[in-house]
Amino acid sequence: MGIQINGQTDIISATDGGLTVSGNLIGTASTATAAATAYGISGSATLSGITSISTINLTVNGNAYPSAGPLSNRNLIINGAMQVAQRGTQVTGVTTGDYRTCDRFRFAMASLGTWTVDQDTNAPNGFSNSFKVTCTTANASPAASNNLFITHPIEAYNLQSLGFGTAGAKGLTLSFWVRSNKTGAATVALLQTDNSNKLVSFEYSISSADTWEQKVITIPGDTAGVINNDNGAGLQFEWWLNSGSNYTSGSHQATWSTFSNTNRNPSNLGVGGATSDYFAITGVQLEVGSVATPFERRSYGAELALCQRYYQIITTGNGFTRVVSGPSKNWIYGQPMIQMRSAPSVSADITGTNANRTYVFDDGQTGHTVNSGQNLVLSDAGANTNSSYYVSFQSSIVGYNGLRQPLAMTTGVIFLSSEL
Amino acid sequence: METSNIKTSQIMYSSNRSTEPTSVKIVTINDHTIFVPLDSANTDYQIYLKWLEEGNEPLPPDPTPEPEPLTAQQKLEAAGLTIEELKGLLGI
Repeated sequence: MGIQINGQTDIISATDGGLTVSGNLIGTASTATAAATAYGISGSATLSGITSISTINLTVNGNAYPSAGPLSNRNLIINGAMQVAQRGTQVTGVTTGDYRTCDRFRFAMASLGTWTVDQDTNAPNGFSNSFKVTCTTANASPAASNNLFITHPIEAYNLQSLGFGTAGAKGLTLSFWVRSNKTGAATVALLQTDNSNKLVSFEYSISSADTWEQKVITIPGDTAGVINNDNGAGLQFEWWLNSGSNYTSGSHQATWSTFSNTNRNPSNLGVGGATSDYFAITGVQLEVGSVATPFERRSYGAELALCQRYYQIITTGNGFTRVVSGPSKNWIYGQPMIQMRSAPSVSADITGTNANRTYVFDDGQTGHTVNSGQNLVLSDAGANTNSSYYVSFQSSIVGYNGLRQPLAMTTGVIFLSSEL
Repeated sequence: METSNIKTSQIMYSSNRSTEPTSVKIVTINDHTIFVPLDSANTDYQIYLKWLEEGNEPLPPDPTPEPEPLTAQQKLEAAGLTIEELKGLLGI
């Protein structure tokens, strides 16, 4: 027998510990609040008629929901799961900075050891790859100007929703997984060099060696620093591994401050002080709002297409639209598979495979015999726009009147780069 | 790419040597050849300009290439002659 109030008998008990109801709770939502009071509902409850939920952090089954920004296309990072590695899966003997293995993540360095760079298969649960750098020649005492970090620049076109430079500038949340043999305090910095030349930098800590740990960092919006609406670098993340004092002598900047090298790596993790030191990262997500939501999965094809705006490899099978043989050169004209960020840099590796073909030159003399697999010489290339390119190449066979004899190109790879 | 990756550079012109250069040919320390457009938005070009600021100098441009010799047919066409007219001139 339940307690009867105003003729309702569904209330079956009411104690200081709670109100138990067997039927439906009905009535009109009240605007009166008791903000400090939390009400729990147990059992298989159904709530209807709720028109809004006002909360800073909404978590359902352990998953945080965005506190701001869109529900899809939230992740402003490209290739955050390190799936795409157009340049290959491993590079050894690395002593200078450049993009290597995983797309969009550049390994930057100045005179700080020798490294192997991998698209590694060791990754936290739910991920297949990570971007890993391993020291093969150490630098135990970096000079003041030495530096070592992984960087990810974001094109300014993709950052306009942040409203930087306005009163409505939105805050951001960066989340990532990290693993290293080194433990202790480390630094991640964010540069806004596009226009106002500012910086924020934060400390995070690696607690356990050789263990994947997720880190979350909240970043304030910048009401004073406009990000230009163009194809330049709007923001640039830096995960610092090691450096000399030029980068460590300052302090972390929790709010946007005037750029200074000294504030880029105040907590120096020191990766590369010993051979076999390593640092790996994956699951990188940057989103609007103050909470880190679950990593947003994109299909491999979608991620690859996003990467190809900055770098793409054209082969004989996927992109040569026109090959023209001239009297002394062969020419390739084509369009990138994806329109690129800017007019790309062009390089090529073209191979002629006319095995044992004998040329008869214009004067009737029998020419040279071409060996199988002979490389053709890249003589010129270029791109005047972000949507076309050309490559010219010639053989090393010199015939009548000094003309170089064109070979039929049978295999070829063209590299287009408009990285930030 | 970084400035320390650049071994040599050379301004490139179109084959008919028009007045405007077309690209910068960069050879890296790993002997990889890259043709960089003269586009301020291209970061390789930005790095090339920084490399110049550091006091480095590009190699001189290649000499203007000799025009490719005309074939006999092209010479005839240039002279506005047919083969029969040429034979007539030569009395053969």
